[in-house]
Amino acid sequence: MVSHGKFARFALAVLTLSALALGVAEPAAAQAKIGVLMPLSGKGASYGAHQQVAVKMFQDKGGALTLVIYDTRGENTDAINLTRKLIGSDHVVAIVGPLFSGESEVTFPVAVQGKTPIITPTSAKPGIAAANRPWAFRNALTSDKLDGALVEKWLAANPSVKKVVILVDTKDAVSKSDGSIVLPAALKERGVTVIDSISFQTGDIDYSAQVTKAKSLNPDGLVVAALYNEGANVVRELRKQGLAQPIVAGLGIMDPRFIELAGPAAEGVMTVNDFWTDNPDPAVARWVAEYKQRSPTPPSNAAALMYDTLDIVRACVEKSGVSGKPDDLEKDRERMRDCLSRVKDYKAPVTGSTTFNADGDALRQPVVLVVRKGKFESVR
Amino acid sequence: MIDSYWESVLIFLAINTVLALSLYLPISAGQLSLGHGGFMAIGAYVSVICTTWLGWPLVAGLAGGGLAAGLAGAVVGFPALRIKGIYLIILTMGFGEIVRIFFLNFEPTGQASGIGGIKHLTTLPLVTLVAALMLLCLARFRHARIGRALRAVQEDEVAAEAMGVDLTRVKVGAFALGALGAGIGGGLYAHHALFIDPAQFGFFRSAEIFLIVVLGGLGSYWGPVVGAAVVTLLPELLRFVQDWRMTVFGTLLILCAVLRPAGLLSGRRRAAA
Amino acid sequence: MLLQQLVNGLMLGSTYSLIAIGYALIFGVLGLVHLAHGEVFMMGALIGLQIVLWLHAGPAVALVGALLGTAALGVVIELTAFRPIRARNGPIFAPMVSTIGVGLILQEVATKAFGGEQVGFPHRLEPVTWRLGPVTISSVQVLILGTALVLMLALHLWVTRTRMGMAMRASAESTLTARLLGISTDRVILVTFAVASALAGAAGVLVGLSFNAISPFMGIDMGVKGLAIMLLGGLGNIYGAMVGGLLLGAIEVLSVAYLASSYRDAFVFAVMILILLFRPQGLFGVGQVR
Repeated sequence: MVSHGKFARFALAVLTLSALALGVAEPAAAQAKIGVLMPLSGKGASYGAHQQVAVKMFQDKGGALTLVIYDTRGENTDAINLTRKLIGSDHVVAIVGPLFSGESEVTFPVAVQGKTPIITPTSAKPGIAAANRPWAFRNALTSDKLDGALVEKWLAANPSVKKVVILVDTKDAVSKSDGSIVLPAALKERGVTVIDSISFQTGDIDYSAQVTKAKSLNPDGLVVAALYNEGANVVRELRKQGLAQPIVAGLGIMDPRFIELAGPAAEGVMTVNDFWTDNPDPAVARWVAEYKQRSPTPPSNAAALMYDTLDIVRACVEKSGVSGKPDDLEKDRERMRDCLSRVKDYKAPVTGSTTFNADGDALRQPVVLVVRKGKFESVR
Repeated sequence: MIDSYWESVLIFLAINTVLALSLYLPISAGQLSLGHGGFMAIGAYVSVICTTWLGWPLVAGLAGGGLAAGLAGAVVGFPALRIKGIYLIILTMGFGEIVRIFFLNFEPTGQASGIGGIKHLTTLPLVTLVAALMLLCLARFRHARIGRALRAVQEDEVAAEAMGVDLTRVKVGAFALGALGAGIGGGLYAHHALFIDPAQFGFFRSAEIFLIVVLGGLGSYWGPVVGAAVVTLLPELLRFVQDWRMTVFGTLLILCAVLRPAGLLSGRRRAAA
Repeated sequence: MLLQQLVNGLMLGSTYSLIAIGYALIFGVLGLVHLAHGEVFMMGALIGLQIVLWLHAGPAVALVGALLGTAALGVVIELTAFRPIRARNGPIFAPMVSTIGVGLILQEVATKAFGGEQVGFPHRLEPVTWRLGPVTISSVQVLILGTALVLMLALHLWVTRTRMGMAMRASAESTLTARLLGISTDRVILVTFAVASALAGAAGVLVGLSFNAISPFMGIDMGVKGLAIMLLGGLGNIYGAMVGGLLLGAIEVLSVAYLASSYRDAFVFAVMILILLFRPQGLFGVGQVR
């Protein structure tokens, strides 16, 4: 069997040599390096594209931060490998990212083991930062901090709602917890009954069956817990089949493309978040305007949070005396960690006053929003 | 001393090798299975239950996961007996999806939220050892009666049966052992990734393992090793074409299929002598 | 509710049918599974969308454009990814590997060209809904069912009345005999690919119009389901694929209506497995399973 044996050995040799060649670590530069993990290809590529614009905006503002950027492809495997690379070879003092909750689940323990602070701008799955203290942080708001205010305002605007049907995406961990645990609890607390919970899955294209079922149950109000794609499709189908009840949606749908995709069906849908593109606040409006100059699509949460997270990290680099020298790496990382855990009422440029609590989760003032005439508006 | 990044890459490589070797067995008995992700899932979840809830050491957990998966393999193996070719592919694909959907709905293991907080117990030496052991087993198999029976079945089932080979035992056995290997691979994966959810074990995973095996070719048990190396390392090495990685990878696959349709390591198969 | 759900199922099922027919055609003539067929479906949707956006045209133009575009794509795929392998007579999984490669490339190209998330057709094309008693139907759903039926009818006529169509059926029966009869199998295969891909592309536009959820990854799910339907209807049997698609649509919708949606896919696969075990030739297949 000479032919295949030789080929096998040759192939393995080539692969191994190239692997080793690329694995040689570069000497560390004498400037604080921050790792950034984003999904630039594969699933989540469009979120990643938004974040990339935000990163460029941040870099163009100047400052002594060197960013080491890697593409995770939205894959847990890559996320793990790249986190190790950032910690072990690139010697970063902190990591910003990753995007998906799943990726955060796998990378946070790596960061804890590598004693490097890691802060995700976007992962909203409850509990992941808390399980990885003191090195893990999360700049995104979670539903348990938001839904109370949301339900309060929704019921205030629609006092006749006494029984609801929940439509929930059971494949997406965040939507699932929102729709099966947090929102129902908030509703029950205020005396509203959940008649039924009807499920669908991320990536589904047809919702006619679920909506027909919801229609037959005759609720006073409708609750949607989904990401913006699926949420838009559900809302469209609801209106298409003639359901006119008021709709409240979990924070997963928060994205300007929700309105784009849902069209006129989005009118009146209420949700909650800390960032929306039509926020009249001048600082936000300026940021959005600048973003729009650089990108054909308006910014989403992912972009805004990435920008602000980088800003918080920069502030910590400057304030906590991080030297960037290779010998100080361990100390630098500890400085960053301590600085991040002490963030209180920090005025983040786009999302506003931010505090990190003991769980490493961000606290901000949530704003309840409603769609009026094709735009999100805050509800007084 | 390998750095942390390459250590992780190599661990994934070794895990992929284990998975590929385990699929190699049923495929070389003529049973094309596109549901290996399902067995991997069973092994992963069961092993995590063993180590996290029951506090067992990793090896015991792997054994538990492997056995559970092997049992599932035996169960699927029986109906698979009567089915061949494209039908078997679809059957196994369906099985894999059903397993994934089961875990998506199974409350005790977190449903879509998965299980996190798994202890990091998988080490490079351990996985390499497991892969090496599997290779050793396959090498011994080849020359033992079992291996020859397997090759006979692969060449011509009817003739093999006429020669006294118990088709049922060979095929179900290959299927079950393959599933067992996948279960062990799943357990090793879980204790390196530290978090598992049903999405990790879907059709993509099954297709990936299948791809590795056919890429390496069925000519020799080194095939899966080469296949795993290509599929695991190539995306890492192609990072410099970051944006078009999948296109390059896809093109390479097409080229492989065109230039070496029987796999990268296809030499002439030894005539059954 | 049952009646409405059946209508829902019919609409969904007709798109499934179009895709399943493509699989059946290719399997019938070539004896292999085209694992990138779902991606061709996806490209159809994207091409249709681009036509609407660039030319400000209506759905009819989008449909025709997608038909032509994906037919061309199918031809390219056959020439680059299948024909060279056929010449070498390798094992059956070689073409499968090739199609996986094609699928990956198409997904990445689509992601680059159109972004990674779902987009929708512009709302100018918003459907009109009609209420017939307890049932609500939208104009888009009627369009889908109508188009699907027209296409299936056209296919039937083509396969039974035209020379090329009959040549295709002959090749599906036996490549050797067909060649002996002087049929250029290479040309037949090309045409088969073109037709199968065109149908998938049409399905893509119809799905895009109706469900407004076009993404580079929409083909994966559809691809797997199409395979299941082909099995349900009998491998290589286009009429089986037609009916199978409608049936599957109905089963899916009913399982969502009366069970939890997260089991929807499991239900589909369970049905598939049962068929495999008890009637592997499918509902309409005849004779022994080779």
